[in-house]
Amino acid sequence: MQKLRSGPLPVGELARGLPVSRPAVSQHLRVLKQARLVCDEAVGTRRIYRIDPRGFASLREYFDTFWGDALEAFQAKVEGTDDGRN
Amino acid sequence: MAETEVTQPVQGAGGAGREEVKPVRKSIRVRADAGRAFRMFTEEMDSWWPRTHHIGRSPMKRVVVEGRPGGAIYTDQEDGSACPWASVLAWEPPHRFVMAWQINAAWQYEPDLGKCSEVEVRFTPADDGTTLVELEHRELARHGGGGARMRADVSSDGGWSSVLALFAARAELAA
Repeated sequence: MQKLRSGPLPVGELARGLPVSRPAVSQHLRVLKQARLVCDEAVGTRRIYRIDPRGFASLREYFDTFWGDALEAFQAKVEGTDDGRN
Repeated sequence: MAETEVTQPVQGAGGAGREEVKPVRKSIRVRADAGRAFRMFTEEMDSWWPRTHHIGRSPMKRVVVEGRPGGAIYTDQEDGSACPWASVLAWEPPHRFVMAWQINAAWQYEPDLGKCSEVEVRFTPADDGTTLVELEHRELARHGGGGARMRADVSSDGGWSSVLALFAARAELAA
């Protein structure tokens, strides 16, 4: 995942420098793909992997809801307790 | 009401540059000047922070923001422990504040800033005495596999959890 953050890469490139075999990397990518964290496409004879933004949708939704609620609580406080300081 | 920016789909692999998970962006206008809004948001965060949101093992007593670059952000818990969960990356009162969101996949403190998302808050005063508060939670992909497990935790869809647990174990192997 760290490697894919800078852009799409083929499997061989992803496996380079990792202390696991290339089949292990492929297996890992299948799980990531199942979880919709990465997606792939064929480019020529190679398969290129990239981060799948859909996989992060629920995390985004969580923070979206959280910050929406938090900002409203902040607004209520900042407006409701104005004690004339500043 | 806090407003949500309409998000656009991220384009495919054709373009150069970084793959992105769109940041979460929210804004709200408050009837207060920028100085007060900044102070309330940061050093007085305890006055509005949702009590349900902490990573301690016992109930939280208060949230503390150390108002300086590199300052710690933590909660004090009822059992006497302190739980760091963020730190100040930029401290520019009364206009801008950035913090690292240091909570990892297992809802534990993440010391490595390279694996943390960021929350930037900007305070823009208007002539009518109000302040526009704009929040951006970005670099969510830095949570990597962690984001996936977090997602499993925050999602009620149990079906994903087993896949994600498997993924998380794999991600740790490959890390």
